[in-house]
This record gives sequence, C-alpha cells and structure tokens, in this order.
Amino acid sequence: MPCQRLCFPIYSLSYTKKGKKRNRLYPLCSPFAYFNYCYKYRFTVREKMMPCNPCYRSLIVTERDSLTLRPRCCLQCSESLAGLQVGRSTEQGDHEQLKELYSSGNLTVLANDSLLHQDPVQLDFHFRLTPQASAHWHGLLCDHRLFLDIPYRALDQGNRESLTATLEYVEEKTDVDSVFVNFHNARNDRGALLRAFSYMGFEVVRPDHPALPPWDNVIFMVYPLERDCCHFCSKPS
Amino acid sequence: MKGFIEDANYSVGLLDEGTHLGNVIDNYVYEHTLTGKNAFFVGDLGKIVKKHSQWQNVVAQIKPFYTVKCNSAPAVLEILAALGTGFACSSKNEMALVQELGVSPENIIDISPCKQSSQIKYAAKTGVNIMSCDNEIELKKIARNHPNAKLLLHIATEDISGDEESNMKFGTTLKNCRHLLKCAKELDVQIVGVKFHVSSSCKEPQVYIHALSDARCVFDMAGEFGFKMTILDIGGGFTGSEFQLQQVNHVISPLLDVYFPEGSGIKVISEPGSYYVSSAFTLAVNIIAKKVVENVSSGVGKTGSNEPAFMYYMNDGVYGSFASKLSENLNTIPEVHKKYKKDAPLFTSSLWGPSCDELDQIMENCLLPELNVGDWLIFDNMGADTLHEPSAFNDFQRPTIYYMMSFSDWYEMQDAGFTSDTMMKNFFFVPSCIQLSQDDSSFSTEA
Repeated sequence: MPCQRLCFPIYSLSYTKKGKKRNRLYPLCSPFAYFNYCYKYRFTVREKMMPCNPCYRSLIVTERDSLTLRPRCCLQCSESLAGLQVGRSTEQGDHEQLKELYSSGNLTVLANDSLLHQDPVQLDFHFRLTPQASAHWHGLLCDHRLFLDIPYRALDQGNRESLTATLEYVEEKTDVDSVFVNFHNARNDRGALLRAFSYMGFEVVRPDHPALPPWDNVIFMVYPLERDCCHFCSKPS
Repeated sequence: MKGFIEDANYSVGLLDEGTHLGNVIDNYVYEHTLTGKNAFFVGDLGKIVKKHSQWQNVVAQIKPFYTVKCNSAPAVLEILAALGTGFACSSKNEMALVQELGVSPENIIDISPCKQSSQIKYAAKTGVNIMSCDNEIELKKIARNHPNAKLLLHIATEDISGDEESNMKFGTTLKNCRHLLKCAKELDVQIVGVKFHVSSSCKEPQVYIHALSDARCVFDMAGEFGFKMTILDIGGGFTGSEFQLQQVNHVISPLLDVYFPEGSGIKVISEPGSYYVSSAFTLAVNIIAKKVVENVSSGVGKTGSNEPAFMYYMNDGVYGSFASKLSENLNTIPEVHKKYKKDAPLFTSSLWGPSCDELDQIMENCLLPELNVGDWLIFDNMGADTLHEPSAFNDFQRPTIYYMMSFSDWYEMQDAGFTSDTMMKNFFFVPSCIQLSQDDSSFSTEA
C-alpha cells in the first residue's frame, strides 16, 4: 500500500487573525458593543507523493491548520461529535496516529506524538463500558489545561464513571491545573448538562476569561484541580 | 481563608420593632445611590432561624446536614453551626470553612459525587469520615486514600418528571449495589448507610415510597456482607415551604417506622440546602443601560403592537448571582424599587446581565413600567445557588452582603438556647428612628 505519510514541509508559517466583531445585542454606546477575537492558523506547503498508476508523482500541496484549539477526530470513534466542525485540522484527513500512553482497569489513555513541543497535545480517554461499547473523551492538553469534548449522552451512568476515571488519571498522573468541558450553548439539554456537571464539581466559566480558547457558541465549565503550587492560589498545604 | 477575607468581619444589624426588611433595603439603596450603585444582597438571618424551628416542629427526628454549596456565606454557616445543624460539603474548601467555625468532624459529611484525591486525603486528615459513593471507580479511589472512610451508598431514585433530559442519573442501581458491596468488602472499606435524593421537581409520594423500600433492600443486602448499617440519608430538594415538608413527612413517617424503627439504632439524616437560605436573601441590582426595541411580539396583556419594548441591562447577571438562570427557570420576579403610580403604563421588558454574551439574559419577557438608567430592581428569594465562592475562573465582583435580624428573632434564638460566641461580637443595634449607616458604633450585645 502506498505510504501516505507526510513528507517534510517545504515551508510553514503561522499567523494570527485578529478582529473586532459587533455585538448586536448591545447599543453602540455600551462598553460591550464589540468583542475581540483571535484565531491562530498554520499555513504549510509540502510536497507529497500521490499514487499515479503505475508510479508516483510528486505534488505540491498547501494546507491550513487551525491552531485555535480543537480536539480532533478519533479514528476509533464511532460517535458523531455533535457537529462541532469549527477549525478542524487538515482536510486531507491525515491524522497523526494516537499512541497508547496508559492502560489500567477499563481506562485507556492515548496521546499523539507532538513534533513541536509548543503545539497542543491530543489526549484521548477511552473507557470500556461493555465488551462492545466504550465512552470516549477527546481532549486537548495545552499548558496545564485540558479541554475535553463531551461524548454523546454524557450524563449516562457509564459515561459518568468514565469521567470520574478520566479526572482521576488527570489528577494523579499529570500536572494539569484545570479540566474544561464544553458544549454547544443552544443544546436543548443545556440545563441538564449544566446541573449535572455542576453537581460533579464543575463551575461555569465566564465567556471572556483569558484561559478560554475563542470557540463560538460554546459554554465552558471547569473542574479546578488542587495542586500544591497552583497558579491561582497560595494556600498552605 | 481563601476568598473570604473580606467577609470575615461582617456585621449583623439588629432591628428594632417597627423596622423591617423594606426599610433596610430603602436605606442601602439610598446609600448606594450616593456611592456607586453597586448591586447588594440583604440577608435576613432571622428567616434562617425560623426555618430551623419549622424543621424541628415537623421532622425533628431527621437531622439536617446543610449543603454548603447552596450558599456558603460565612454568616449563614455560623448561624447554622450555632443552631446545631450538620454540614454536607462537596469540596475541600467547604470542609475547611466549616471546620474553622469549630464544627466537629462528626457533623460533616462529604457528598461530592466525584472527589479529588486531595479532597479525600484532607477529609482523612481532619477526621471527616462519612462520604457518599455511587460507583466502583469512586469506591476504589476512596479506599486508596481514606481507609477509615464510612460510606453511604448513593442509590438512584426514579425520575417521574417526564423530561428525559433532566434525569441526572446519579446514584447506583439496586442491581449494581450487590457488586459495590462485594467490592467494598474486598477493599476492606466500611459501608454504614444508604443515601438517595429526590429533587424538588418530582417530590411525589411514590418516589419516596420506592426509594425507602430500595434503601431497606440495600440495608438487608449489606447485612449479609457483614456491614453494620446505621445511617439513612433522605437527601434534599426541600424548597422551604412548610406544606411540602409536612407532605413529605406524612409519606415517609409510617415507612420509617416500619423499615427503620426507632429502636434499631438507625439515624435518619437529610441534606436541605435551599430550604434554609432561599427566602432569606434579597438582591438589589441597578440598571446600567437601556435600549428601546421594536415590539415584535404579539404583546402580553395590555401592550399593543405599536408600543415600544425595553431591554434593560443590570449590573449582575448569569455569570454572577443569577447563575441558576442558565440551568433552570428563575423563581423570582423583579420588583421595581422606586415608587410609581398605580396606573402607570406597563411595557414589555427584558432583563439582561452586564457581560457581552447572548446567554446573559435574566428575564425574557415581563411587564414593567418604564425605567431609567440608575433605577433599582429588587429580587427576593435569591438565597440559593447565588453566592458562589469566588475562584480564579469566576472572579466576578461579588455584591456586598448586608445582614440583619429582627430583635424578636434574636430573642427567640437566645430563648431556645442557641448562641455563638463568634457571632455575638458581630451584632450592632439599629433603632427604628435612626438611619442605618456604616458609622454607627457597635453596641455590646451581652445577653
């Protein structure tokens, strides 16, 4: 089978797109009449070998990655991710392989091999519920913060156990300070999700908080993990 | 204590006969109008005392463990500690707060469904042993960090409200209980009781009936494994209405007598939260911006289609004290503070919070007279889920809280024998003829 591996890029550069958007819910005189956005992209030009019977030819392709954080699709995932397609990575579908990082009991943790250390690392948590089904929490780890996409039917008993297992792994085996979950703010089960995550110990984050990535129409809730040298507090241990 | 330094020196106004909540609000509105119009809360601690008396009158045999997460204002915790309630905590901070007040660890339980290891270790260190648990992962986590823990198995109750999405699915099924009991036995962790929770939206008798019989079932199962069961926790979900409490008591009393009779050494406890605080707090907010819009709706009541509708922006919203609006409907209606004529025309109005977010809406549609920037709106029943601990992610400036208590409530508290040394020094006396002001000197309130 022809090798589809990415070839070394000819060049790549990253750029930021910033702007100001009018918030029509507020009058012009209001301090909240505009809000600022900032998206980061990486533009790569590379040479690829494409099959062309009976041989190969080289092709120059350009790709635009969004570095505005977004967990990527998981190859083993059979669930649809509720249509959140904003800022997905390369259209070609060349997913970097996820490697198994840790496995114990019903929990398996997978991560991608990030070539550049400042890139966010994809961290996936697969929890086996039954021999046939498992719950997936896809996450992006970036600078002591973990952003998780919620699985379909996040509130089910099995998925709640998977979240408990995930949070336990994150607390004991990583130095993540805060775990964020997010979901679309127009979901009709928004109230139930908010109550359930709040009961689990998550709190809603105000939308303009600097720790949040600029994803549209999304509510974030955070589970702050207590660490001895926490950035935000200085309590005696 | 993290986040509460500014509250540590709160004061409680003791009101004379003739002065009441309305006067207190009027006074602070006047004061705030001169000094920046920030939103503020007024907490009537006497209402908390009254709710406790009501509890003792109706269900004295059930010991209340107040859920701290509902409202963790220091005055509330102090007065409840003085009244002798227990405390149900869901974070390390909450446990620390309560223990600082001198509450003994036997009166504290940890009810968080997903406890951090650091939280469990802290509970182990400070002697908080009773914890709830509803799944195997949590059980193993507790076993590793707190071998002396005494667990309450959290069982699920049926959700009959008909709304599939609202079923939070916490609590383990009866079928899974046997498995959990076996795991606990293998891990050498003690199970001492059962917990269930019936939410306020589905407080039907049959839910309690089934829950109690399930609980009895689990007690028997646990007995087979050799566990000595001594606690039954019937959860919370009490809104504060005396009628609701009486109804629940009416349903469960006979069942408790049958399944968990007095002499069997089983203690029945409960987790009321908003029961105590909901009606005790009133929030006053100020209007910071106003917008006139086309009234495109069909109009509610008197308004015709050519009358304007108004959008008012207030200085507190869903990312502050109105957090419960995001997940539930608000059960309070705003009252306009300024005096307006009885026959003043009412307009369709909507109320919004101060952030630049489309979700920050407090009221979609209500009828109010025309208001101006700088006017005040009063919301009562704002005690539950409104005063959150400030944190790094929600550093919204909490409104100031002014506490008061009427003299007669205070006397009642004294008569019933509830005292708190720490609270006594915080009282100051407010005679009815004098305006409340920060300059009033504190009077000694020795009994």
